[in-house]
Amino acid sequence: MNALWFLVTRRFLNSFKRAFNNPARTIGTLAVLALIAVTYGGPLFMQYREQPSPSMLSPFLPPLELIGSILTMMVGAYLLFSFALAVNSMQAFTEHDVLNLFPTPLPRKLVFQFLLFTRGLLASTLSILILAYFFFRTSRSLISVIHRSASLGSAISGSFTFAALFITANSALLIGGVCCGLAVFHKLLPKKLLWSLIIFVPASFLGGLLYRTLSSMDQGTEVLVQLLRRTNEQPFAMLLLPFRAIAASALIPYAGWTNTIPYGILIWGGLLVLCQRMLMSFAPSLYDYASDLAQANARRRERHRNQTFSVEAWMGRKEKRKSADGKYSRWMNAWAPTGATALFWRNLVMMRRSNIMLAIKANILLSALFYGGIAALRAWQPGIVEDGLIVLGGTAQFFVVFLFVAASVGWLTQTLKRFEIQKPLPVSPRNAVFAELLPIAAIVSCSSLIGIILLIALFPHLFGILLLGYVAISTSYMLMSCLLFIVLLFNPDQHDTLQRILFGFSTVIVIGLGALPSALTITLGYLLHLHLVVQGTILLMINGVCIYLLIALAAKRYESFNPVD
Amino acid sequence: MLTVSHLTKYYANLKAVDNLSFELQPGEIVGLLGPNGAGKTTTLRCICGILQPDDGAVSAGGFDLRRSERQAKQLMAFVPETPAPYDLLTVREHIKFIAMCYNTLDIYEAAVDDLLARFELKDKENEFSVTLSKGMKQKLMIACAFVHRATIFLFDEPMVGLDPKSQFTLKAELHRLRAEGASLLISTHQLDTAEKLCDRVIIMQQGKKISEGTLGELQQQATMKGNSLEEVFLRMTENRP
Repeated sequence: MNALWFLVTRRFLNSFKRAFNNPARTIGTLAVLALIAVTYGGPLFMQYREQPSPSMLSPFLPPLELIGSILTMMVGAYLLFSFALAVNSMQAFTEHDVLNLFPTPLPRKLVFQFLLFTRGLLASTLSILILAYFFFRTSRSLISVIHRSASLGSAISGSFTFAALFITANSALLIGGVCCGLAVFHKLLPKKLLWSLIIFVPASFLGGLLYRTLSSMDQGTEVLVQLLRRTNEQPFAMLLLPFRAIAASALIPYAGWTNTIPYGILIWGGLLVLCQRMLMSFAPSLYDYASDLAQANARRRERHRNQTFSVEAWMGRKEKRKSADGKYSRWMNAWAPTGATALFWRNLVMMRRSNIMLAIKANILLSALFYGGIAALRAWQPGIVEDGLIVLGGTAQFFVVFLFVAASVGWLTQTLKRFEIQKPLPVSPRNAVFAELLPIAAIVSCSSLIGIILLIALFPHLFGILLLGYVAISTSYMLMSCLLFIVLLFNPDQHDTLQRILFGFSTVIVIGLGALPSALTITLGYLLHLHLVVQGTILLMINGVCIYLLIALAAKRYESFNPVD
Repeated sequence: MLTVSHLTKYYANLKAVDNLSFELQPGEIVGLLGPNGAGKTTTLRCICGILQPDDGAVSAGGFDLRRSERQAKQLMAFVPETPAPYDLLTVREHIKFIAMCYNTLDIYEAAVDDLLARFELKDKENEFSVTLSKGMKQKLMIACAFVHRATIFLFDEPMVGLDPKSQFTLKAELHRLRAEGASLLISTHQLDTAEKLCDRVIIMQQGKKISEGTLGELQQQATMKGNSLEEVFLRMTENRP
């Protein structure tokens, strides 16, 4: 056990040490840490200084019953997500573990569970506990004004019960997810059946809840409030009981100890014991499974690294390229560009095999569902307010961009792994960076076009505004990709805990910064009553200049980039 | 002593190792040869406990790997083909970590400086292993095999990536281990090295053992008296399904 703790702590401390070995990364690290401190530390500090008073009360704060329901749904969604991730816990094991740890005499159950705990459970639990901590600290004053003042004793017992119950539930579902993964590995459970259940069960629950709410609507009450209230009715209340118990434990300081909490302790405790026993029944093959996951992970990385542009193609020889899987479209095979365009071609070919394709499919599906829903709503209620729909459409497009930013992280990480093959090629760093970033932006633009065309078809009189929005989304995404790539160049090692944390935090900032020029231009254009064509031209120019400068900056860094630095 | 009996391992429907049996005596170096995909790495991974055999048994120093896993593993040291030390541990920390896993910190304390010097890692001892070259990583992985009381050494392509001097040092180490009574199983594609180094070789193809013995015995089996191991190996592995 000492060896395992040594491994975890040394790697964590060394990642800090490594961060401060590089001047550029030191500045970046300190900047992000300072931002975290200011963002969270400031309100926390003020919280200690200010006493709760009725003037601080928000008039929009929902009653405690609704807070409980919201928390229940959030906890349920989070735990379900954790379970789904655990089914395919590829990131929990690496080739380093397989080759260094598994041949040692350390008990395999201990090693397996330790890695699972430290890489999976601890990260998710810590994040939720930090969130819960801030939730308690920042909302305590508001809630305590409406209800009764929470005593220190109840706050401590509430926090303790919540943490214990949450960790138990998370552990049970994490181990349960791994057991399901093991059952699939041993062909005891069909993979398709498992994933169908993971999707079908919550979807049918939400569908049933929505149907019950819409079929017996009360006039004068918001749909969302009614939906949340229905969660207290049977059979939904029974199905949500385990999650409600966790939510109720979080509210102990304000609502006291409720009857659902002991049921929750029993359910989650029992499930944890059961899952643990199941895991132990797989004990002999735990390393086989972990090795398989680690190899699959390594293979995936290698696949991206190997599918690089061939030297022959680079030299401009038009030779017949046969596709590895016979799935490429004919025009992609027929097109044999040279120079920097060849990199663009290679990236398009490789992107077909990356998770960006999944994001594109999700985008098409979501767009069809969303805009189909709008069309149906308009047909049903012709007088519906258009502004609201436009705002919803805009929000949906923002989420699409967010989805693509998340999906392109993996792609950009692979870009850096190809640097050894790419750098000796006679292409300037600027062109190489541009060729790496352009395909993702092009795909996002094409993908977003579907949504915009559907919106224009629904609201033809808003053609100008929608087109402006489309230009803003496409160019903003390219801007975000440039920023993300620069952040990645400073934090290239995603196995390094600190670099991963900094990269994750920076991604949020990048999304904000990437959207800033477009948002400012559109706001100013609106305030100054500029014509949409003028607004679009200014927006294109500003974003274009920003992209040009950022690519130059990224190219400069890329030129001197060393992945082991 | 290492005993492998009727070892069988499947990857889905592929039989990677098929009913493999052999023994390793103390003070013996045995070469595990075979073309790519013959099942050498899988065999070594089954022996050292990374993979669970679907059938058969492995016994190290009289301890059955399935029933007395800890005792059996305590006697074995495994050096993988691809050196993969933990990126964010320094060279010295990585060696210490391995010693901690085997509960042999006393050996680490006594031998670490000598090991670092022997494998030319002294000036890199405080560097993160992510910054090491492939050859240096390989040296680190080999050094880790010497910080516990192993009597059975399993090497998967140990010479790959090593410079000539390091290869020479490693060969000297292997001879020293043999003289001390250790059992060594070495998987390699370098047939000239195997010919000079190994007392006996096992030739595998498509998961099966197709031949086993000293060079003389193999020459006899292949009716190629006086030929090199390379020629005998090529004859034995060609024209087989």
